[in-house]
Amino acid sequence: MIEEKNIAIETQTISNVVPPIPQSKMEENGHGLLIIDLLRLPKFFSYRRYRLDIIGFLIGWLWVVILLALGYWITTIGAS
Amino acid sequence: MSALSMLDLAVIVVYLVGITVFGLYFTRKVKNSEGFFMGNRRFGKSLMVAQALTTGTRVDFAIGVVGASSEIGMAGIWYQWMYIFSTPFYWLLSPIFRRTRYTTTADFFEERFSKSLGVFYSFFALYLFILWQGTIIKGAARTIAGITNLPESWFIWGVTALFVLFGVAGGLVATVNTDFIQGIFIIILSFLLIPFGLQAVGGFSGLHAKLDPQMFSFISQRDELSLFPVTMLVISGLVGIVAQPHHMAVAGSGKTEMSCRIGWCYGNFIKRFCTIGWALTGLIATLLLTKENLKDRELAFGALVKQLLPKGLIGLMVAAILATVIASCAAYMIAGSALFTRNLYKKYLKQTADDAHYLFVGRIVSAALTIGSLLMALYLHSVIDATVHFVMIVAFVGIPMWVGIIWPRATAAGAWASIIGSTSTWLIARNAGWQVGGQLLSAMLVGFALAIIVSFLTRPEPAERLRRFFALMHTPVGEEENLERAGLKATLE
Repeated sequence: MIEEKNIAIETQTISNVVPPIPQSKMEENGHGLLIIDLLRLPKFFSYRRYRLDIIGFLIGWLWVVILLALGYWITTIGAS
Repeated sequence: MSALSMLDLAVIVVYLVGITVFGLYFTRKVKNSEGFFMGNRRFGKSLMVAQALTTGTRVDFAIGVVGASSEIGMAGIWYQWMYIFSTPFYWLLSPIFRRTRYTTTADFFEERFSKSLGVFYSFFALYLFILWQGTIIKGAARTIAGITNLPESWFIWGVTALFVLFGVAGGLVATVNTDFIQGIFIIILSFLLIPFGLQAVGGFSGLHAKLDPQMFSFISQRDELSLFPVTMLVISGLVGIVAQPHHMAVAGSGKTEMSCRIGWCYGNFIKRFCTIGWALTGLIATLLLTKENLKDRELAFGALVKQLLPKGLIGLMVAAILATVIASCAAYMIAGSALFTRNLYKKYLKQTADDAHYLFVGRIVSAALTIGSLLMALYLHSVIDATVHFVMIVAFVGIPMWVGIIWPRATAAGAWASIIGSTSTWLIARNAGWQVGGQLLSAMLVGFALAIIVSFLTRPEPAERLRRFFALMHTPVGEEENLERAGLKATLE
């Protein structure tokens, strides 16, 4: 839940229907979220901003490939 | 006469006593409703992995995959591997859940769209929890009754009492801390039958010599799991994953965003690995079980346990099944009571009361949900039917969640139109006799189209509502002072 109390801070604009929201230093340094920013990616994408998402997502797909390969390999054991 | 020896019974009793004492030990740490529902968001990486593995791995999944694979071969694996391509997305989604700082998914619908959608989601989720618990209890009861020759009703009431004791007494803290032990039992359950089965059929070469080569294919020639329905189940699995009601706790109760990411993603990868064991067990069942045993394919798992395992290990398998039931049902029961207490009772029935009162209500609701799930168990035809039914309906609620997260212009009217339109399309397609793949494709296309079109045709949500929601989305955990400086104080409820 959120209570409101306005103080001037650094802000960013994410859409024309959303008033400016606080700027995040962590997001600029690797903690940006690809899904949240999906529609803004063509303008804002940088490896530095989405580092954690990109690395983890790619490693995740590597695990998918490994599991699929493992499943296939198991079905070939003992086949003549 | 029971098929259980004294050794089997000793293994089960040691397990039950041990896990109950262990769980009750952690009840001392539950002092408020936040601790009961979200474990005070203090879980580290390993506990988050264990929680994701155990709440996401249910005995009815094993029973369903083993049964399907015994009939259609390795392709039966897709009844659970439909989520394998979604799993990398868990890495991207878990920080979103954590950043919302919400306790339940109904909070999401209320904060992003409207109160009415929050209330709708609460009832939808309660239905899902009752459906899941009913499926688990039913599947496990049938299997263990088959193994032990004991009356099914004994098991139903016994195991229900056990997970109610766990969940009601200890909340999420007790459940998650015992998940480590349950996780080990789940892995045991997944692979215990394989060595005994392979020995009985003459190893892998024996399997290949005696089975049709088609049984080793991951794509079934039968309509049930051919390429198109599998593809649609995979897509709907990804769409619906955000709307599964327990995922707010599974993905959002970690200490940090990284513990949430690792927990949800890798807990589920371990589950995908276990699924290979279930499918292989199904192939073994095809050779070893007679047509009498396979009259109902969902009895294959229990029949195989009874036929293959020596004394002592049968008890261990029964304990493993009990472990998955307790872990899953206790987690669902807690998530369901959180939904009712916080999103319905606290908001619409009794707005001011001390925390002890809400904690008490949460515990009462937990028990009530369990009774509902016992009744549900009586109406279920099969475990697989319940699984497919779930994957479909949850996807229809997942569509507005995805659209609402990605697109600030999405409105509550668009979300309502999407849910009603996709559900109606699905009902029409099903009654017209369309196959599962066609039902899902048409319903999801209508759902996404209506979410976008109706949102464009209606006024955007109030600017302050959108500002609050997207400010949370763009504020990583640990940077809450940013919100406070902007006049948006976020408290983890």
